[in-house]
Amino acid sequence: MAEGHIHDISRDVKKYLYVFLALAILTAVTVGVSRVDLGITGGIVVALIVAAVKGSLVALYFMHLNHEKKSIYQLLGLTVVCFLILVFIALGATRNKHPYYNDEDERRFQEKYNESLTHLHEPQEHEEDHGNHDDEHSGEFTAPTGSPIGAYWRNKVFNPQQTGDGSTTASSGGAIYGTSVISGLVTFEGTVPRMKSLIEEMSVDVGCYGKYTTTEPTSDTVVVGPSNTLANILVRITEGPPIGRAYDATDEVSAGRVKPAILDQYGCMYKPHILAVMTGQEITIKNSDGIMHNVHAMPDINSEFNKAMPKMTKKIDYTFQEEEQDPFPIKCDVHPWMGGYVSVLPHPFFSLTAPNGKFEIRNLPAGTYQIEAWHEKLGIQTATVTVNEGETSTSNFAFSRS
Amino acid sequence: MQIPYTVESRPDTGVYNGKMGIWLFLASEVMLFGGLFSTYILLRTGAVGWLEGSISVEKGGAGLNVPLATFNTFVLIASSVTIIMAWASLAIGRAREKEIANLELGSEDVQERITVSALSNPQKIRAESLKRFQLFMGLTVLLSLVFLVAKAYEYNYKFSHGIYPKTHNFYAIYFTLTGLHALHIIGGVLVNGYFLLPWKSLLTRFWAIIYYLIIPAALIVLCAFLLYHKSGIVFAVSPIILYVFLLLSGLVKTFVSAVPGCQMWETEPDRFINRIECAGLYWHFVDLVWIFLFPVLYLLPGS
Amino acid sequence: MEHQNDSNLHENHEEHHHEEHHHDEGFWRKYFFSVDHKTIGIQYGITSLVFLFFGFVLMMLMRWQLAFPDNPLPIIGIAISSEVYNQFGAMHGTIMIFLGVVPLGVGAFGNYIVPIQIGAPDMAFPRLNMTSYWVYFVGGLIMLISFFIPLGPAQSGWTSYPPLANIAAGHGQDFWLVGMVFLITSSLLGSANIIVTIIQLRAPGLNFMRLPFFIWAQLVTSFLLLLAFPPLEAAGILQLMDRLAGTSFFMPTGLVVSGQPVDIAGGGSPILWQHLFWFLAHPEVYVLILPAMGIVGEIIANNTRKPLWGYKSLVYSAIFLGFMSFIVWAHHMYLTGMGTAISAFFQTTTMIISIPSVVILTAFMISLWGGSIRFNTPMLFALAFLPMFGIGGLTGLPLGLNTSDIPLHDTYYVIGHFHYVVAPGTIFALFAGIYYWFPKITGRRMDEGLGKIHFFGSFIGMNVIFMPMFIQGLAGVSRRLADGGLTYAHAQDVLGWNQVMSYGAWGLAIFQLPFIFNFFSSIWWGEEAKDNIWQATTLEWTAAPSPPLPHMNFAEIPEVFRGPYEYSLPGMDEDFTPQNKALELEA
Repeated sequence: MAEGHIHDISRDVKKYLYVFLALAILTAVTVGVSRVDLGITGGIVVALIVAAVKGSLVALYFMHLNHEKKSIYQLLGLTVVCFLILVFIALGATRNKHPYYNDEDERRFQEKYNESLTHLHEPQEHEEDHGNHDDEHSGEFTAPTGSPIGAYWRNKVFNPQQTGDGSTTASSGGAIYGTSVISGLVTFEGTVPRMKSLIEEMSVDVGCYGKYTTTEPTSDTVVVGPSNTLANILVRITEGPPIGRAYDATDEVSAGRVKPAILDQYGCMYKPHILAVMTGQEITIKNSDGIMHNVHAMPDINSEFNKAMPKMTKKIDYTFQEEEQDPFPIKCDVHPWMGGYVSVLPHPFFSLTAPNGKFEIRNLPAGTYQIEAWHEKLGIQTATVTVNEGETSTSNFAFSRS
Repeated sequence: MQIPYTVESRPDTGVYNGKMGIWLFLASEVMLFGGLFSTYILLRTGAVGWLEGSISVEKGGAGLNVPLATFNTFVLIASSVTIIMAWASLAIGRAREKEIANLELGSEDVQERITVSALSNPQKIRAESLKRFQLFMGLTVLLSLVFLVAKAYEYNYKFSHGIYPKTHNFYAIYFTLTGLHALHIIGGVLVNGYFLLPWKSLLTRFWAIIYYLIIPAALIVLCAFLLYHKSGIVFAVSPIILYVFLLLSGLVKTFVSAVPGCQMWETEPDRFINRIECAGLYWHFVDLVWIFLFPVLYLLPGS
Repeated sequence: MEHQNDSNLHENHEEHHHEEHHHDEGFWRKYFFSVDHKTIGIQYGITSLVFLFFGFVLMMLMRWQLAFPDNPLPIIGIAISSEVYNQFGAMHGTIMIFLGVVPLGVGAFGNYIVPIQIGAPDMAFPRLNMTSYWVYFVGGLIMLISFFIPLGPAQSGWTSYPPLANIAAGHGQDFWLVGMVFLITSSLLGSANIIVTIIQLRAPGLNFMRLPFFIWAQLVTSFLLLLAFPPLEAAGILQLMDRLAGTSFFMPTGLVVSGQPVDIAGGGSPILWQHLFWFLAHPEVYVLILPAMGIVGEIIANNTRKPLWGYKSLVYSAIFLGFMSFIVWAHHMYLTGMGTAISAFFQTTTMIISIPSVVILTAFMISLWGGSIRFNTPMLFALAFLPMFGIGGLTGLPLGLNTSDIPLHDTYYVIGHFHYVVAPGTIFALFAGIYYWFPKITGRRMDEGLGKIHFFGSFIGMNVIFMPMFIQGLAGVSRRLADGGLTYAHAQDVLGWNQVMSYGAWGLAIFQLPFIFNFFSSIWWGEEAKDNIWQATTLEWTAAPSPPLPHMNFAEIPEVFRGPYEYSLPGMDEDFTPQNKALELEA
């Protein structure tokens, strides 16, 4: 304002110098106060208040806002309102929790995350050991570069040998076979539950319910055959001579010890409901429905994937490279009732029961075994079986709704 | 016919065009830094853990150099004072000059007239004000350069210790906020430096060297660099084509011959004062942003 | 005394010298690097029309793919792959909005008309004006160049959502971001210029309530541009940092791409980008519509020969609309899991913001009542604007309510909605403006016959293209599908409309030919038009010749005595009374 009077401006000059002094003092104050522990909120509030005071001094005295015109005040008022909207409503809109699909998945993730924190500083096969293991067992977690969650994910993928409960996978020798057999029957005790009809769910898609002309689609969670026998039970060896030895999937399939793996989607259901394969065995995923499906696999150790299968895509081939402790779920995001399981095992000694409830694990070397029968809802049961060369040992399982 | 209200204020709004223009620009800058501050708030509240600026990296903090940044804060505040003193020198000088002129106009007393003209003539006042202005503006530019040097030292220290923006979101927002702020300071240095530029003949030579020698040389170097790095030939040659185009259009000649710098103090002093006031407003805003950046990045506790 | 005179003389000498300097401007200074708002307005106009044409071509190519998926293009012989479709889609949106409609509405019409309509000799900051244009030009050039780099232009939608935009291969997205920074800078400089011009350079007697509605629209638009664009500039810088410096502003922890985890620090939020983007992009849509409403207002008043009904309500609605546009943005984000409280807040503000739009539309419609309507080409386009914008606005309501938005979000319903507002809405208004102000700018008028052909063809074409989109959207066809929805099991029965819409698009293209021919041929051979061919009341027609004086527009600055739409004033000889006409009997 070239129209100002000398005296006004000269007086202002004195004010500028006082303001400079005040700003210098306030700067020192804000640095000093930051050394005092006022808690997180306290520290932030105090720092912002001091900054606001300093800013006001600059705005009022240096930028002449103490005697500016109304039009400028109006403009600034509008700006301040927009600034506050940007900061506070945007903040409010993000105060939300991203819910997982269901509580069960959330709990699984939480468990795995907590577990991974304790594994982060274990010496890796490829990592140099510097001899300092002070913090290894202290239970205290120090953040590596980046956030802990990032470390969890990096760890999970870059160190796939690490499984959930820390079991070792050191191989100790080549494949061995024998002539023994473990077989048995799996039955259901108690009243057989009636499986839910899926007619209502499937009604949204003619490509689904159109396949059911004579039968009614029902949930395949528990499939009970005649004489209360249970289908879809996975029986496998968990301890015994072959455990820890290296088996090759291609050899097993060509020798006929393991069936070729085919997972089909027909009538908007996975067929079979549970598929057992070996590590490195190629799975052929088919889409016999001729409508849009997608295969969303959620393994623990292997990479999760989600592949679309539009009607043009009749088949996809996939191979899981790592062993999975438990069968993991696969689902279809387009048809929410579709759910199946896949088990990836390092050896060919497993068997899935058919509706007749029978399982048979062949080509076993003689010895003592622990076998495990797994069902997605009815639980896990184990048994110890000893078998001699060339003989068949029997072990039956009975599941009930608990 | 000229564009009205470039110098004198419009009666109903009370401001001249440039002042309203610069405040509008500052309003948009508030929203720009506002967007970045809201980013800071959102990232920080959503983060699992946030670093504390003043604690060293070994102890789990961000390892920022608080003493250097405090020094920088003093430097920037001082530069704010010097720029307003620069404006005040011009405003006071102009007002004094007008007072003398009015005195000479209005005074009936011959004795007073002689005394006044002997003591101080308007030309001398104008020249003295210019010198004082150049001193303060020069100090402003100098202090800004000190600030930038300190910043460069800070950045270099981080890079040489393996700390980059991608290391952690704290550093990402730190580098972005301070980097954008530093770009604004560089812009201010260019504008304030321009207002310092003196005598026309030296000016012409100075700008002629820049535009006819240094810029073409830089463009040729850039072109060679791009070609060496296997960039497409069109892309590499385009800055040179653009420069030739500007040369032919006479724009370069216009800049070289008619850059007033502080020349305007001789020809349109009131308009020049307005320009300095607007430059000062911009500079104070830059200072204001730093006043908030400094505690938020360097002093706030972590979590 | 001497000193006072000296400085005056000196200043006069400066001015004299200044004026002389103008007379020997070189070719480049006069036509390319001019600081005169009229030249700059024309530059903006031609550049934006070229970009609009380019965006239109992209759309026609996309419509080929939608009508005949995976079929090779005629003549060119290559089919459009889904990557290329996505690129065309992203660039079509970007080019139409940021390089086409806004520069035409604000840069061209704003720059040319605002000073002469308020009686100003030029814009407040002429050199800044020139800079704005060239920065826009460079930004547009960068966007165009991105088509020629390896891996092509941006392909993550005009909305550039991370993480997809962050990880997109090639440098197309980087070019998009840098181009946006240039365009935003140009907008900021231009809008500050317009605001200062309108507030400071009004002719004597032209107080705020005597301003033509077009000026009010431009004023509110410029405030929106000034305050809403910078957060997007900030977001653009952050995305550039993410892409080039590896930061994680928008990259969440644990991000896995194609089965591989991404090596980043993590901790970022994709939602942050959406907030920053839509904080601009919602006011941006009001930037698209307000200048159009301004133009329609001028033309309706002029061609009904009566004042606009409800001038005050129009002005207050425009201001209220501008303010509300800052607090509705998250209605674009209903499906991001914000939570019911915040969704309810934005739903409420969105419903409230429909009120001023309806007020403006209603005021325009009531303005027609009892008017002596002249059905010239600008009026035809302006009239068509009303129902078309009405359809666009009404179809926005189910999108603004968060529950009904759930099935409609990201479907063709949305595309139909916004295209109705922008295409037969804003673009019709811009056509109207071109036909209306062409005589002012060139001194000749465009041919009415060709204009009417252009109008009727465009009107039918627009509706053929965009009405079936509502049908498709309600059936659930998603947007941004390169095959038009063939992959999915649902909605197969509405996909037949794809071909209909494509034929509509190509038909629309054919009906633009009369316009292009008309435009260029009228510049040289059009019928000569008097200074105030439309017998309008506003200053650009009454105080300046056609075209306005090359230097400083007016022979002398006019003085204003009355409001902008004093048509059919009782007791006057003519049915229009110019704003600047002094009457001897003024009380």
